[in-house]
Amino acid sequence: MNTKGLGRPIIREIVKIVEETELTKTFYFNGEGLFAKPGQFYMLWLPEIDEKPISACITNIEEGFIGLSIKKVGRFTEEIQQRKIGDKVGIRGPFGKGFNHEKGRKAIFIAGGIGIAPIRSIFDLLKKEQEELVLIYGAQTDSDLVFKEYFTQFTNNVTYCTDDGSFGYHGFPTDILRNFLEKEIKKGGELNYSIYGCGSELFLKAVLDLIASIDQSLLTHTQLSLADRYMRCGVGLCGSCIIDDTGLSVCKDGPVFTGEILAKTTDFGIYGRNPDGSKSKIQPHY
Amino acid sequence: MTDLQTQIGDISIRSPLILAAGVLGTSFSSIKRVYNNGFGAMVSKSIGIKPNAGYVNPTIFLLPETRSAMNAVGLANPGVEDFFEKMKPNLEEKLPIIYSIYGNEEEQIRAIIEKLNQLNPLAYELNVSCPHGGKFGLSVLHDDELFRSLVTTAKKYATCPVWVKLSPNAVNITDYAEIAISSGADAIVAINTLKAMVIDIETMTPVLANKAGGLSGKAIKPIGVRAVYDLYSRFPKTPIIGVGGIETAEDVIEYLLAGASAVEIGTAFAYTDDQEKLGTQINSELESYLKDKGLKLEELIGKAHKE
Repeated sequence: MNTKGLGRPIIREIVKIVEETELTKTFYFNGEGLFAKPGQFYMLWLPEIDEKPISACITNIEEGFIGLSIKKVGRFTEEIQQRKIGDKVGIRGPFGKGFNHEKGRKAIFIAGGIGIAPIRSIFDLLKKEQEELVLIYGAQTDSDLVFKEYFTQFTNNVTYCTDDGSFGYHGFPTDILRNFLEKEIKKGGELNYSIYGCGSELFLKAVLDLIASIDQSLLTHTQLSLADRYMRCGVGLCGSCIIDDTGLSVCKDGPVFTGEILAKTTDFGIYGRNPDGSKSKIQPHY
Repeated sequence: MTDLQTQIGDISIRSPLILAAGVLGTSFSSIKRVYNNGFGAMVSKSIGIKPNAGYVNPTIFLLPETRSAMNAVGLANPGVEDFFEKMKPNLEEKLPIIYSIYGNEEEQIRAIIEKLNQLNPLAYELNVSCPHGGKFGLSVLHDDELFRSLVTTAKKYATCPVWVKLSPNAVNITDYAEIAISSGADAIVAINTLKAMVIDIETMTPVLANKAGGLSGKAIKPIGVRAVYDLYSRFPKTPIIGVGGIETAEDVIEYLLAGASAVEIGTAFAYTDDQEKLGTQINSELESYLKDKGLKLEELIGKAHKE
C-alpha cells in the first residue's frame, strides 16, 4: 500500500488565518504532501498540548494550500485559536476513506454546525463537475453559520437553518430535507440523489432515520462523516475508534460510512467511545 | 489443504497467527473481525483493575521508512469490570481469546483473573513489559520478587494457561524467562515493543506526549527473532510465541525456525489496505511454503537450531 502521509507529523507554519465567525477560524498551510480527498481528515498536533482529528476542508492543489476550519469547542480548539500567522503546528495524514463521488447522481449536502468543514471539501469537488447541487445547512444561530456567502456563489439551492430563527429557516435541516425529498417523490420517478452529510452524531442519526423512513434504497447513496469521534492513531491500529457491532475503525474504514453500514451498527448515534475504550451515551451538541 | 494447526502447550489453534495485544483488541466486534480473517487466536488489549485513559495524544504514529510504529498509549483500557461486560458475547461465540492483563500487586492480578475466568479464556498473557506503562510496565519486570509473585499468583488463580510477555529491554531476556518459567509460566511471549523516542527537529520536541514509547514493526524483527532463538536454545520444552515485525509468511517462517510455536501480529494492520485479508493471505502463503518444502508446520519449529 501507499504509505505516503502515514508517518510522523509534518511541521507547517500557519500562513493565513480567516476569522469566519466569532467561534470559527480557518487556518491555511502550505499543502505540499498534505492534499486530501474530500472527507478525509488530519491529526493536528500542538506540541506539548494534544493532537486531535480535524477534517480536511479547503484543498487547493492549483495554488498549493490547504485550509482547516476549526470551531472553538474545548481546550484544544481554544488553544489553536490563539495561534498566529507564522506559528508552527504538526499535521499527520490525510487519513481514512473520504466521500465517494457517485457520478451520474444529483447531490444533496446536509450539514450541522462545524460539520460544514468536510462538506465544503466534497462540495468543492462536485461544483466543478455538476450543476445541480442542493445544500441544507443548519446551526444554532446565525453567527455559527460558516462560509454563508461562499456557497451561494455556486448554487441557488441553498437553505440555511437556525435553531433560534436568527437566519434562514427557523428549525432543523431535517425538516428541509424531508420536504425536499417528499416533493421529489410527488414529481414521480426515482430519487436519483447522493446525500453527503456531516455534523454532530445525533444530527446525523436524525438524518439517517429520516432517509430510511422515506426510501430505504437511498441508504447506500447516503454518506455520513463520523469525524467527530475520539481517535488516536489514524491508521486503524489501536482500536480506539471501533464502532460496534461492525468492528470497523472510524479512522481507517471511515470516517465516511454509507447509511447502509451505519444502519447496521449498534453504536451509531447512541454510544461514543472514551479514551479508556469504554462507551458513553452520546450527548447533544452542535 | 495443508494443516496450519499449531500446539502451544495444551492449547491447539487453527493457525499460528495471533492478534497481538494493544491492537484492535478493546472491542469484541473488532476481535471477531480479526478472527473472521483467518487468525488462530486474538490477544485483547491489556486490561487492568481500574479504567485508565492513557496519555494524551500523540500516542501513536507510524514510521513508514522502516514500516514501523511508535506508541505510548500508556495502557489505556476500560478496566476489568467494564471490559468483562463487553466480552460477554464470547460466552456464546466461544472465539479463542487470550486476555492480556497487567497489575503491580498480587491482589490486582487475583481480582482480574477471578473476573475474567468467567469468560473461559484460551489463556492469559501477563504483560509485565510495557515500556510506557510507568509503575505497571517494565518496572514490574525489573523487580524480580514482584515479577515472580505476579506470575505465581496468576498461575494460582487462572483456570487456563498463563503466558508471560517479555521485553527486549533486558541484558539477557532468557534470565527473565527463567523467573517466569520457574514460577509456573506455561509459555513465553517475546518480544514487547522496544523502548524508543522520536524527536521533531522543527519544534525540538519529542513527538509522543509521553516523550518515550515503544517501537514496533519491521524495525524490531531481527531483535525478536534473536530473542526467540535464545529462548528456544535455553528452554526447548517451553512454548514460545514470537512477536515483532511480522507482516508476511516469510516473517512467520523465520520466527518458527527460530523456535516459536505461534506468532503475534500487530503493526502490520496499519500497513495493509485490506485488513480483512491479512490473515487469510499469510495463511495461504504459509500453506504454499509447507507444500513446496514437503514439511508440516510443527517440523519448522526450531529448525534453525542445528546442533
